[in-house]
Amino acid sequence: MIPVDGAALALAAALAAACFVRAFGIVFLGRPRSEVAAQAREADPWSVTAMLGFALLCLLAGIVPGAVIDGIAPVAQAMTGARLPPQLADAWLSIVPVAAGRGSYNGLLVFGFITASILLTVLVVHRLASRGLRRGPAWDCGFPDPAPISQYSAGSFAQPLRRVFGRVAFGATEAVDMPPPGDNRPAVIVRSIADPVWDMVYAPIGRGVGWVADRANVLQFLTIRRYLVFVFAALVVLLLALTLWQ
Amino acid sequence: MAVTQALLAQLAQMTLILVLSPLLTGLVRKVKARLQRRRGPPLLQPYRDLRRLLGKEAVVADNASWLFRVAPYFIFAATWVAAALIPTFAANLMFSWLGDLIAITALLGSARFALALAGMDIGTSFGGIGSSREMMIASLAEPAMLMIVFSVALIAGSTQLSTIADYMLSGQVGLRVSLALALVALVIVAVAENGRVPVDNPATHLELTMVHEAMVLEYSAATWR
Repeated sequence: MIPVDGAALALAAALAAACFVRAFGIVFLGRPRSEVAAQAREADPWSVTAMLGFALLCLLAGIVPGAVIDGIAPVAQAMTGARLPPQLADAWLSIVPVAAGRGSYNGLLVFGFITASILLTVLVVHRLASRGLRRGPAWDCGFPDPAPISQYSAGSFAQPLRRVFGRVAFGATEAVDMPPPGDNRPAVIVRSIADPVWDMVYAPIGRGVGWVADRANVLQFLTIRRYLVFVFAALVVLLLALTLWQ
Repeated sequence: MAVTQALLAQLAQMTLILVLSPLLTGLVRKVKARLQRRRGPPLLQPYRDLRRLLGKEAVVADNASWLFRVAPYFIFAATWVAAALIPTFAANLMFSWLGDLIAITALLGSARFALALAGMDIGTSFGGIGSSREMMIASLAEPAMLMIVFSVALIAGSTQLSTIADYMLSGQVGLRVSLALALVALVIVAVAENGRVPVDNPATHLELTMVHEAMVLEYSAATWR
């Protein structure tokens, strides 16, 4: 079970990474995609500080994961009846989920290690590399397109993922709608995505309710004699059931 | 004294990896060329390329942001730290307990995340192609990588690389089908992660097959400013 869980977690992490690259890359990176976006300015320092505070909290949670694990341990205890051993007591703020021989992780030292490596690299590149720096237009393999619309959009970024996972998981289809000769419409790619949970779970329930409602609808259009017969029959059935039950 | 020795061993390993990795690139290129009945560049060509790139003037696109400048350093550092956690010529290195195989996978994943972002920074269509394809490949290769990690960890009883290495050397492993399958899977994942031929081609400039090349297209030289 553990490998399957781990692979599912890794898939979720990789898809989340793709999602964040797409969200951040399309929104904040690249050339402005509209007139309004071209005039965007940085928000006031207070707003930026608030966002930086959250970013710092995320970084801290990664650097000192033991504190987070100990902090949410009561919740895990209440929900699953089990918890990881206390982590903050370990030396150097390591986290050791089971035993030291089984695997351990030290966010603080990994962070320090990466920072030191970055500083060392910057230092070496500073010493060795040329200082020449020129600003110029983007190269783009020799064919820079001045129109910002030639950049990747959110839809085009998702296309490979949609083709790999979407066809199976969401029944995603793509078709090129090519206008016939003489028609001035542009050719477009038509996408369609289905929600399997909706189609397999909610839609059958809805259809069942509709079917029962259709059948019951007949009862609304009966004559008064039939209603009276129903009332009488219901009374007889109930009394009969009561007699049998006692 | 023991601490100094351990630190020296760790540093020696990190330097060795750094010094030898261009040679591996040269070897791969040479083998590839010989398989195609070409003579191929000399083995030391990557070192010369590095020296040439260090001496070049960097041309940076007008709209490049800070991310474009910082990403190479982060990618290099994360990959280097991941390499430092792997026992190559000595087990039980000083920093080997910092992180296990899962941490190494995560470090490589973070490096790829930064690379994909850097690819989208300039706003050319090539960068977008590379980033979106890379994230697609990552979403397939990373779960496979972790499956390999867990199948090895289930046998060795640990995700810690030093412990795994000790266990494998102890001779009580025997013949295991799951390890052979993990090796085959690792080779396939390695081909995908290193951008080699069926998945990507490091020597191409054809849009159909560009993944890594498309992401780093706007980088021209090393610069510190």
